[in-house]
Amino acid sequence: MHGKLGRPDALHFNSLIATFFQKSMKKIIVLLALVELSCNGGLSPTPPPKPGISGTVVFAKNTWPGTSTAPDSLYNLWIFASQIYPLDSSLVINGLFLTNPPTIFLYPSVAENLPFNVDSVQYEFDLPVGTYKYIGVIQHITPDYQTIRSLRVVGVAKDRADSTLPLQAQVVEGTVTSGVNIHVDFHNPPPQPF
Amino acid sequence: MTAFLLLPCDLAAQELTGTVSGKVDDANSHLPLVGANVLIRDTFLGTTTDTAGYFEIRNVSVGEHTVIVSMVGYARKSITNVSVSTEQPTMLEIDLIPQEVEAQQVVITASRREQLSRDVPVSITTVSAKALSLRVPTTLDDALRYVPGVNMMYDQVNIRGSSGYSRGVGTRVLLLFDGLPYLTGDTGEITWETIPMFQISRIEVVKGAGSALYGSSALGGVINVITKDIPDKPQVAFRLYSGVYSSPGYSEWDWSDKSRLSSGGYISYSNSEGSLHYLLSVSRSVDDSYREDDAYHRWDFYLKTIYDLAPTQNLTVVGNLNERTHGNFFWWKSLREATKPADSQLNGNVWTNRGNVSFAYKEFVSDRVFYNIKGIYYGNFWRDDSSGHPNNVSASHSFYTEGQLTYAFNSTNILTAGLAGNYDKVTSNLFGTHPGVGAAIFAQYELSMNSSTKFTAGARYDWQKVSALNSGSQLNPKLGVVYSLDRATSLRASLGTGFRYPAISELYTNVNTEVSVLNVVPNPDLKAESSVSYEVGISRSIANHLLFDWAVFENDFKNLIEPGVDTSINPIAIRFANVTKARIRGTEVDVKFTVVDRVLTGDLGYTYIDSKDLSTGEVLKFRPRNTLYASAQLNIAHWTLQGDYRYMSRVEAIDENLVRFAPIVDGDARVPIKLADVRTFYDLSGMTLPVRIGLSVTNMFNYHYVELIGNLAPVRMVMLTLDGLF
Repeated sequence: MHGKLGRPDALHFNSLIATFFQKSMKKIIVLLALVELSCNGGLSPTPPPKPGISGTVVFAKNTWPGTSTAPDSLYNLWIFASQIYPLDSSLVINGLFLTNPPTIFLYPSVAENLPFNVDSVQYEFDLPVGTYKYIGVIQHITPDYQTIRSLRVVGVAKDRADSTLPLQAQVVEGTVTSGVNIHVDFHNPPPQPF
Repeated sequence: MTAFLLLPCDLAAQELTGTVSGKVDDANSHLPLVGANVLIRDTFLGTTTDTAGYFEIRNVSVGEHTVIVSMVGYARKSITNVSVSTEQPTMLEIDLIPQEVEAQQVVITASRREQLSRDVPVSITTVSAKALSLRVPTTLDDALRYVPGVNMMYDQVNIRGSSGYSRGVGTRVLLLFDGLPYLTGDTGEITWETIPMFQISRIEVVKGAGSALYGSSALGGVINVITKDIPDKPQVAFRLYSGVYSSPGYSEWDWSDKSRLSSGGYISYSNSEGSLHYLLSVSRSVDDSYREDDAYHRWDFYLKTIYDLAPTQNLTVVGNLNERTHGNFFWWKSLREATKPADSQLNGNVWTNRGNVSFAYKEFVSDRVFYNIKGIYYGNFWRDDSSGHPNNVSASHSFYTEGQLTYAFNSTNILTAGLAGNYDKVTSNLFGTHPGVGAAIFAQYELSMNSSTKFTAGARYDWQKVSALNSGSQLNPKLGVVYSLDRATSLRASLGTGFRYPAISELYTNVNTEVSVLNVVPNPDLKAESSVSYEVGISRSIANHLLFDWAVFENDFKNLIEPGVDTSINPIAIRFANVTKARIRGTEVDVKFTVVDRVLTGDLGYTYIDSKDLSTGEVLKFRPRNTLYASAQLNIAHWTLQGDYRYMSRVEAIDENLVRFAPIVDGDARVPIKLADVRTFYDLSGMTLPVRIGLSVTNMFNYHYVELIGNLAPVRMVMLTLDGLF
């Protein structure tokens, strides 16, 4: 099926090729070495990540406080993650500001904020291992700290099967639980937990 | 209809016929040539030479004929005024002149009729059955990875930057199966695994927009898969292969203790009984994959029959059935766990049952008039599940038929014209239930001003209506010219146009795919996307040892349909939209060489593209700027050694929103692609055994890369093959 008919004699070919290889062996070795070197530098695994959650916060357009359409003040804006749900006023205040370590975690930190007046922001939130039953974005609306009236939840990560329930995220060692997206609409905040 | 088909047959039975026989030799060595094709022009009569170089063609009508003889590696020869009588066989002694590089391949896709590749005004590349046989691809997309200007992004084909990435949905390259459109009715995608790899005679890749002849989806180009003819004598062919994946280069990715194998094969039987020729083939593929939840197994059944109604008429019927179960690996868990799927895809499977039946009736009415009537039904059924729970289901039925007439006013004026129609029906929980119907008329005129200048002009008008949407129409023209400076050099220039109607899935998908955390929402306002291609090129063969082809091209796209993340919806969702106006400019060089009477052959192809999203001024997503292919093959008697090298520069832009919102952890991880493969084969026919054994190593240096974001490409594989032909 792959016959040699129609070609010169095989012995003649062999001698030709033997000569070819003798003359070209060094070049072939150099070429192979170059190809091998060029094939270095491929992808490699990343080191294990710190446990946590990641996702994107998307802000509804034209609803940011401070604009003509938004009446509230904006002192701070954080992502929060709570292992406790439902919450009441004391659990919120204690969990956020009084217990050490806190039971409700803030991102970026209590002293920092999410960026203001943006369409969306990606985040990667390092958290202790555990089950987080309530994750969202909280707005600090007055200069007062430690009063429940100064805080307002403006967005919640929703369960994908039932959007009336908050998403539960498992955080395990060495893994970032991704896809925890939060939609924030300052004009239409979700039901408050307190 | 039956009476109409039989009438010419009865007339033919009364016709006086004779026999043409003879021998084909190498003009230099005078050794007989085995497997040379011998055809009677303007008929379907033909055969191949036997092991002693002899051939015999019976039932040739009495009179004067032209005999065409061709073989890979030799210049094609036409013998005119061959006189056939009833009294005694006409004997021919034919010498073929060895041709170091194949500058005169016969192609069919560029003009819907056979012509020499040097007469084609667009860039066209042919992949031969022999090349396919040596590379041992198990699906067609693997074979296309070595064609200059063609990039595969996982399973999505891209010609000269035509496509980005949309998980296969809505291809911008039209796949033809024996000249008939072969895209799924629901997603408008190419299902590579349904092409019967072992029955391919050649693949023709036409680069640039081709809707002026072929209609929707030919924005970036056309790939035509042409199946093998059926030999006159009984024949059994088979291939067995078995390969093993190497361990990944990092222990973090080595997820399985077992050897990961890829095995399979096919067997076919063909025969001719009187006017009926048939071939039946069955193949089986089982792949454990190098990734978790990515294994597949597949059955393929293929039947081709040709019935010679008369020397100038035949009817071909082809049936193909494919069944596959495949893991539902969409993207990795993370780069750290690149061989494991994201948690949402764990334990998922996709079941597909796909099949097609096609027919082609062809007739040479005279040496000036040829026509054919063709049609295809393509059924596509699939469902997926997660941990045994049914998830998504889709069924699509696509019918397509066309009639084409080719009329040669004389040797310098040729008209090709035809009509086409299609009907699709889709039923799916993802896409809803939608019918689609379309019709088209096309014509092309070829004019040879003199022996050196050939003009081509054509156009196609398409009308389409999908479900309850308003109907739409498209007019697509084409122009081309080829100027031969001398026998070795030709210049070409062309303008082509293309368009693509949105697929049902792009218009109507409305579901949570369960693969991503994002829903996909419908957009019935989508418009057809369109393209205009310009190309100039030069082709020159030098000293019969080197074939050089250089092309400069520009493709302008409008209303490109891209999947995007719509953040204005709560919750955020994916929606297809006409978002982009784009321009791609580039150049392509292809050099083929051969030395010492084809002992050493090689191919070098380089493509540079400069893509720009004219809406944003940024580079287009998923388009590598530089691609390089290099291949060399050494043939010594019965031994063959082949090496391939493929380079693709790092993709500059990807869909960052998809990475963010899907989400694909570490989805932006990507590197240049640098791949080296090597293969060797030994043909035992010299030991009177009609088999060939082979050893191939793909991704020889176990280089780790992604073609598609979040998808680690295959690791090194070592494979043994055994081919036989009795």
